[in-house]
Amino acid sequence: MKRKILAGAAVAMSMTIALTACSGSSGSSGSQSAKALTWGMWIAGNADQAAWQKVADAADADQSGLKVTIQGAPFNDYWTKLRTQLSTGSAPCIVSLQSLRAANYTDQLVAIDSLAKKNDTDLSAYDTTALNGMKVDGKLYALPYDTGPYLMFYNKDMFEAAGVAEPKPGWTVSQFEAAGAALKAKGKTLFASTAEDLGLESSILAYNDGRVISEDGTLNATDPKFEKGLDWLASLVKKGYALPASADGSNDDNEFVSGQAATYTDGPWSLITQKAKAKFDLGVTTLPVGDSTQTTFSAGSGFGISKQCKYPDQAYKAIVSMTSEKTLGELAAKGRAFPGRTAVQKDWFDNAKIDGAQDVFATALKGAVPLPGNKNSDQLGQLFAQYGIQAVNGQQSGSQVMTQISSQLPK
Amino acid sequence: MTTTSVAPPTPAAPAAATAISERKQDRDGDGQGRRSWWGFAFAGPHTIGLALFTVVPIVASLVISFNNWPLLGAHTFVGFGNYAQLLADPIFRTVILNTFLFTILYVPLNLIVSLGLAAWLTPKIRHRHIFRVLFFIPTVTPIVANVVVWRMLYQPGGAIDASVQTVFGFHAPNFLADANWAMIAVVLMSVWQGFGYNMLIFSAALDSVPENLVEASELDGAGAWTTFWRIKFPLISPSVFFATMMTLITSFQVFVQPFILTKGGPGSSTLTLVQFIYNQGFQYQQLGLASAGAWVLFIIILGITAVQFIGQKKWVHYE
Amino acid sequence: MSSGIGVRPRTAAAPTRPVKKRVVQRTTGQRVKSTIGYVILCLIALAFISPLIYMVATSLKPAAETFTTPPTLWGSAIVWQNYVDAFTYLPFARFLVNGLFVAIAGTAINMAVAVLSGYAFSRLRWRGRNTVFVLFLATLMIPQDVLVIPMYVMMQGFGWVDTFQALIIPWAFTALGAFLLRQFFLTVPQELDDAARVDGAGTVRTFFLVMLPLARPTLAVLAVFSFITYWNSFLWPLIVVNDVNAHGTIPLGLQQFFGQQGSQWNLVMAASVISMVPTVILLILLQRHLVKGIVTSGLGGR
Repeated sequence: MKRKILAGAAVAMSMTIALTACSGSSGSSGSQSAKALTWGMWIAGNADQAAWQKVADAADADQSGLKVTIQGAPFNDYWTKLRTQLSTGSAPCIVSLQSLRAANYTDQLVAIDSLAKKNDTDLSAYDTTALNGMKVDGKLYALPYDTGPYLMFYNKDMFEAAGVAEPKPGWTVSQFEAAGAALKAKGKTLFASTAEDLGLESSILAYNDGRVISEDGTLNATDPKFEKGLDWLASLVKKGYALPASADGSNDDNEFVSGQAATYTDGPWSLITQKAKAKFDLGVTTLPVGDSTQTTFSAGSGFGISKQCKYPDQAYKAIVSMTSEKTLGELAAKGRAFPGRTAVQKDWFDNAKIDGAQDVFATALKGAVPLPGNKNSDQLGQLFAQYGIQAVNGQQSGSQVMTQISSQLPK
Repeated sequence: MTTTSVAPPTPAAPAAATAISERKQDRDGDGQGRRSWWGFAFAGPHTIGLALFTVVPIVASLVISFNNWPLLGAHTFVGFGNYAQLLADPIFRTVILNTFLFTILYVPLNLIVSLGLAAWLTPKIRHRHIFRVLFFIPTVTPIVANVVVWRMLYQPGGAIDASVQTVFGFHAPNFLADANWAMIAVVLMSVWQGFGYNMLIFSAALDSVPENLVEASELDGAGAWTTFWRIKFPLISPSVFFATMMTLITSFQVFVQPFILTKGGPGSSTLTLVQFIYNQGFQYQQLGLASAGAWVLFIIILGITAVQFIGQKKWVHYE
Repeated sequence: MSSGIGVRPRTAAAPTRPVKKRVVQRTTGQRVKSTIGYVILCLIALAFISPLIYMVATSLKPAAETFTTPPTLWGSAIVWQNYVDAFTYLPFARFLVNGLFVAIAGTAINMAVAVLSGYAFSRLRWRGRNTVFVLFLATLMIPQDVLVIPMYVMMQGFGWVDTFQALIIPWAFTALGAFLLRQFFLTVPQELDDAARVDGAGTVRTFFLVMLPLARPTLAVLAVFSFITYWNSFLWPLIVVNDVNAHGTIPLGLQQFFGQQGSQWNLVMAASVISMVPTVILLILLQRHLVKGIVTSGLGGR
């Protein structure tokens, strides 16, 4: 009997080796052809899918019969999947990228500078901040479709009910805390805390210039200023000005929309959907500024080309069409994205119909700096969700938490 | 595909016992009747499928675990390097501790609740089938749906917090964001959704305890409690044994509950072994490390099972 | 099958039982006690089920009222629209169809191979039978999570990543079914085979005409278990499905509600209720079969 088991094991082993040998060679990248390209995108629902389908259809603007098929995944899973797909040779041709995460993927992306030159693309029509966000080590990896400074959304009705003056663009941390005290006196809470990377990093940048990723993109997880910033966020929770953070990144959005907190932080890409969801008058302002010259991070998203794409020329033409003035104008009109092209940004404001939004953006952009990417920014985001909440909720100090986080990041 | 839930202890184990005991009498299938090729034909499809999709992957997993195997690029043989790296990793140690902590809390609670309710739901209880169905519902509901409801209950401002505030005037703990509470919250939710299976098994076992034995015991003046432990429990002990074993095995594989409730946080207080494997494999693309983690899981399970089988002689009574 | 008394009919409880057997007569005190016990049991059941009630209630609330202090069960209005929105916000109908397709196809394959192998392991004589069976047993100890990584590599090799095959095939050969069926076939009296053989039926005819019909209740149990594991599976689809809107199943769809747009709890709850419906219907329809199956397949009452 032993002999048989051995024989069986040998067969299993040889099959294993045969299989793993297969996996070494890169698989097919879906069913791509010069006329049919796949496009990976984060999709949040049917409405989202429909809006992006329009963009996919727009890819065919000046080519005959090009078909772009969306491969949609939820935002959080998208990055895990993209990494896996890029590594296994099954990535879509066109990939969507967020500026702060672009650096994680550049080893598997096509630098598109030469393609832009070859096709005489007028890159100056794109928003400069947005375009710079898509550059890693000076090379361009994607054409931006949206951009924007991280902002603070507020509930006008709650401010009014508490007798607090509405925040003006450029308001300060002390004004912010005063509003917190006034709301607390009425039994309300000012701020919905978050432990999401963009939210934490932007709020703290505006508070005291603290940052975990320095301007050149290197990781500095134990920046003492950033740790102090975390302690400040914790003090807001402790004083009762802010609700505690949750591991769920969408928790603060939800608390704000349901009227549990008067403010929270988010990007312009969410503004119009949140306005539609909210049953109150929604306002937007800049992040409260403390002792800082840089007042917020700007971030954006765009479309790039994976190295596995066999038809980079077609894909490039597709992403140009997908970020054309017309397409982005339509997206802006639907409120999906604050356009990455300056010419159509006005459409977005017209559609948002939020008083003073243009001023807010102007003020925010004056002090905004792009959030640089880093190869570990995905991991950092995951660690913030796990450990960051302990800092914000005051269970551990900022420095304790950042020490733990940095111990898990590669040196 | 029990990967998704802590719950269902697969009911196969008793069959295992008979198979093994039978094997002693019936060496290799040459019992009565003539041998034929039909056996191969009938067992063939299942055997081939199982070999291809279980035996091959488990062997492959072992091979991968001895290699530095990124998803992309060449793999190199590293011997026990991955295992050494895991054992030196403080996070991995935390993960192992968390998984054991979950098991130590979850398994006894699950068994107490399921055995208690099964004992309570005697045939004398009116509409017992309705109760059985009720207690079984969470077991068959997609675990993601269960977890989502509980996240809503646990949330600050959610039903539990709001009730505590209304009744007592202070906030309930922030269960999922408090390192002291998160694991307890995950365990409670898991027991709620997972005990129905064991309850059904125990209930069926208890039903087949001969009535005359129970009545004889009652005649002797024994109360319900004594009767249960003296008469019923020994008779159902094989079922309890196998339920315990399968619950243990599945509880080491807990994943969805912490993955959706807490993402392993706060800190690493609810990070479990399977989430660690998932993270290593699909976030950091270190298949070698992930497979080594998976084999550590497998070895733990084998060890626990072996201990159980040795220990069973003390309390499990086969007729 | 001497142990099969487990599923005695419900009516076997006190009322119809001959009085002489009930040696201990119930006193008034005991009756009060048992009533109190029953009330407590009902309360426990209610507390137990309350998360599900809360789920249903929330699924009918207006969006802004999902979190309130003090908590309320019902919102200011019953919003059936949430169910419509759940279906329109995400391609939920698609997830349902995908989930049903994957679960039914997987279950069918599982039942087909398991009934054949269960028969082979119990009533056919062949070389190496018990060795193979013990190997089957051993595979049950393997946690599926250990297989996930090589399985993914294998799916890549087959070109099956992001396909329905990948969701269905790898888990259709779990050994559980073979055990259930083997246990069942062992209880079928040998005389039945002999009679069929006397009538001139061969192995195949005996199997299809005599054995398969007998095995229906056990197959039903296997079907339920298999369907439920497919329907609820999360980790594997999470790994192997890339295009959620095309190949996503219900658990993935539910998770997708926590997208970038923030959690819409009332819709999530509506979707959760929808996701519960198929398995709960199965459970209610087959609950007696289930208990019976657990007994006859050798789980309880040994």
